[in-house]
Amino acid sequence: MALLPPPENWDKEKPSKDEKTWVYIALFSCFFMFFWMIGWHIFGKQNTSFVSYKVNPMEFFQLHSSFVEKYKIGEKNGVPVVKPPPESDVILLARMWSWSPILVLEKDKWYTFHISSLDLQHGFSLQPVNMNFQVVPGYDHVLKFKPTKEGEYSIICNEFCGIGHHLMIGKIIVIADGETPEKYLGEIKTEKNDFAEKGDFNPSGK
Amino acid sequence: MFRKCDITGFEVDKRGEALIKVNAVFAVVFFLVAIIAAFFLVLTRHPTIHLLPPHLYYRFLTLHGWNALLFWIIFFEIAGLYFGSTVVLNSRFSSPPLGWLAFFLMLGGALLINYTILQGKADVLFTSYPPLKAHWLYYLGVLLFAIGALLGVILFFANLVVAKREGKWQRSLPLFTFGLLTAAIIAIVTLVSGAIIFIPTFLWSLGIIDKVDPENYRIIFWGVGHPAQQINLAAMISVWYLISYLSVGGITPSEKISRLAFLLYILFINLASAHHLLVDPAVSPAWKVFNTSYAMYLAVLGSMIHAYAIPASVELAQRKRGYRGLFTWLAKAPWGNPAFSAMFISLVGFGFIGGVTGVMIGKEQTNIIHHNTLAVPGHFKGTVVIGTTLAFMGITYYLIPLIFRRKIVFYSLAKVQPWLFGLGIAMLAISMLALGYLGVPRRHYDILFSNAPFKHEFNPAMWFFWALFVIGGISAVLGAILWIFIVVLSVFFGPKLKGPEDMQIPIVPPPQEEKRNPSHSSILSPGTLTLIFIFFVWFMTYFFLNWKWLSATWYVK
Amino acid sequence: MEQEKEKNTKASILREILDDPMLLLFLGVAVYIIFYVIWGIMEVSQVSEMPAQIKQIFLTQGR
Repeated sequence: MALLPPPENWDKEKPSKDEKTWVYIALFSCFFMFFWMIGWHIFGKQNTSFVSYKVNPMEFFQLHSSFVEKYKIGEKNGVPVVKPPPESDVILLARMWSWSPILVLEKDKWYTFHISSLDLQHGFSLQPVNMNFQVVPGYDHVLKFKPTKEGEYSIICNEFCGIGHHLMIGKIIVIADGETPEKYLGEIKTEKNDFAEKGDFNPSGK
Repeated sequence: MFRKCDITGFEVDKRGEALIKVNAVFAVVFFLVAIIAAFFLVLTRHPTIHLLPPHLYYRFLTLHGWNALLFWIIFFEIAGLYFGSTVVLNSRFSSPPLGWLAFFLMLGGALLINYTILQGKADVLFTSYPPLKAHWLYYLGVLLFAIGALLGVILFFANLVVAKREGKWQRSLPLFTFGLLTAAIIAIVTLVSGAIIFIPTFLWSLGIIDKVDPENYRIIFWGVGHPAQQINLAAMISVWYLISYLSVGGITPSEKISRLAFLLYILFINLASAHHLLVDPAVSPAWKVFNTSYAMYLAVLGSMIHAYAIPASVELAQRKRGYRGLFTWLAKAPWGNPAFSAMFISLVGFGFIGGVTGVMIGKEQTNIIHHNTLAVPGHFKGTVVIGTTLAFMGITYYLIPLIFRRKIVFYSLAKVQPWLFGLGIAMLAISMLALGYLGVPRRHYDILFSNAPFKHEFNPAMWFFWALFVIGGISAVLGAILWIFIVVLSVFFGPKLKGPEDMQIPIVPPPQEEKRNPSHSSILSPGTLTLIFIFFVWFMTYFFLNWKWLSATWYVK
Repeated sequence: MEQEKEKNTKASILREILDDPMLLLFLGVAVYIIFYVIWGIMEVSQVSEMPAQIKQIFLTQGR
C-alpha cells in the first residue's frame, strides 16, 4: 500500500510473528557484529593503529634519508636496500612514484613502521598478503607489523597519485633465520659495485 | 494547472510534471555518458586489452564516477522527490520557478565538471584528494551542482509543507513518500557537507588559501561521497515498495516496522561515511568502530527489515489471491513485467552481493584486506548499480506511460532488459570482489607492472575473473544501452497514450478478499522467512570467512 | 469501549516523531554532525607533532 496514506492507527497494529522473529534475529546479529569488532581489538592479531603524528613532509624526508644512510646494505634498481635491526622503528616514504627504501625484515619480529608521503596521498598495499593502509602527507601513520612468513612482498600504490600511479611499486623482503636478502632480490648492488660500474663509462678507466 | 490521471486517478500538477520530465530526461543523458565511459573502462582495465592509454583511462574514470554516481542518480532522484511530494499527494508544486533554477544550476554544474574533465584539467578522479588539485572551474562546477541539488531537496520539503497546509495529507505520509523523505534528509546532510568542504577547496584552487588539510578533507568529503550513495539506498527502497505496490498490489506487512527501519536510516546511516577512513592515520579506533558500525549496526538492522518487508509485501498480496505453496507466490509473480523483474533482481542482488560485502568491507579490521582494492568498486556495483540503477530502470517502465504519456516501444525487449543488465552487473561485481580479494588494486592502469621498476605477480586465478569481468561488463553495457534505446525512443517518438486501454505494463490493484479460507497460521509469509534464512546463512558464512582471511595476514597493531 | 478508542487515537511517541518531517531532519543532521563530524575533526586536530625522541632515533648514528 506504499502509494496510499497508511491506515489511521498504523502504529497500533501488531506486527506478524514471523516479521517480529526476524527483527529480533537481525538485532541480535547486529549487536554480535559490533561487539565482535571490539573483541578483535582484545583477542585478534590484526588491528588498526592508535598512534599517528603530524609531521612536516620535508622533515619526514630528512628522517628517511638519515634512516637509509644508517642501515643501507645496497641498492636495487635505484632504490636503497635497508636492513634495520629487529624490534626497531623503520621509515617508509611514499612519493610520486616510488616507495623507499626496500626494507629487509626478519620473520616473527616486531617493527614499528612510520609511513608518510612527500607529496600526494598514496595507498600502502602489501601483496600478496593483501593488507592496505592509507598514506597521507603531513601525517605519520604509525603501524606495528610482525611479518609471519618469509618471502618477497610487493608494496603497490592503491591510491590514485597522478599519471604515473601504476608505476609505483616497492618491495619488502622478509627473511627467515639464516637467509640473506639476495635469496629473494637477486644480486644487490653495493657501494663498491656502484663505483666499478660508473668506471665502465669512463673509457680510460680500468 | 491540474490534470486528472485517467489511469491512477491522481491529480497531477502540470508545472511539477514538466520538472519531473526534464530532470528524468537529463538523468538519462548523463547515464549515457557514464555508460560510454564504462565501456572503455571495462576494455582498458583488463590487464592485456588496454583500449585506452593511461591518461585517458584516469580521465574516463573521473568522468564515469561523476556521471554514474552523481549526475544520473541525483537528477533521477530529484525527479522522484518532485513526484513523491506532488503527484502522490495530489498536491501542487510549491515554486516552479525555483524548481527551474535548481535544474539549471545542476545542469550548469554538471556540464562544467564534464567539460573540465574532458579538457584534461581535472584528472583527479571522483575523490580529488588534496594535495591533488584540479582546475578551479571543476570545483565551481561541484559547488553549482550541489547548490542546485540542495535547492531541489528544499523544494521537496516546501512541497510537503504546502500539501499539508492545503490538507492533502493529514498525519502520516504514504510509505513511498516517507522513504523519499528519508532520502531527502540524507541528501541535506550530503549537500551541506559538500558545501562545507568544496568551498575551501575551491578557494585553495584559486590560490586564495594555501592549504586544505588532507585528513579533514577526507572526513568531510566522505560525508558527501558516502551519504550520496545512502540517498540512493533510501530512494531505491522506496522504489522497491512502489514497484511491489504497482505490479502485484503489494501489502506492506507492517507500516510501523517499515517506518521504524527508515528512522534508523535517518539517524544512523550517515555515520558510515567512516567506511572510507578505517585504515587512515589521525582518527582513533574508537571513532572508527562507533561510526563504521552506524552506532552498533542499527542502520544495517534497517536494511535487514526492508529485505524482509519487501518480498513479504509481494507474498502477502499473492497469498490473498490464493497462491498457497511455499514459493508458489513467487513462481506465479508477474515475471513478464519488466518493473517487477527489475525490482526482484535488484533486491536479491543488493542483498546478497552489495549489502553483505558492504558490511564486511566496512568492518574496522576486515577493511584492512579490502581498502582500495577492486573489491570496493565491486561492492558498490552491487549496491548502486544492481540495486539503485536497476530499480530506477524498473520504475521508468511505469513513468513512461504515466508521466510521459507514451507507449513503451519494443515492449518485448524491455522484458529481457533487466535480466541482461542485472546478470551482467552481478558477474561484474562478483569478479571485481574476487579480484579485490586477490589484492588487485582499484583505479590502477597496469597491474602487470610492464614499465615499472619491479614486478608483482598476482595469483593466476585472476585471469578467470578478468574474463568474467569483461563478459559481465559488456553485457551490462549492452543492457544499459538497450534501456536507454527503449526509453529515448518511447519518450520522444513512442505512440501517444490515449487512455488506460493503451497501458502495456499492468497496474495490479491489491487483492480485496482472501479467495479461500484465510490462513490460521501465525506465520503469514513463510516463503519470505525461508528466503531470508538462506540470506542469513550466506551473511554469516561470509562474515566468518572474512575473519579467517584476515587472520592469515601479518600481525599488525 | 470509549476509553479504548481514545487510547487508540492518541499517537505514540514513536508516531509523533515519525510524522514530523522537520524533527526527523533535525535528528538526522544532529546525529551525523555530533558523532561523525565534530568527534572526527576533534580527533584530527588533537594529533600531536612527532615527538623529538622518535625523530632522534632516526637522526642519531648507529645504536
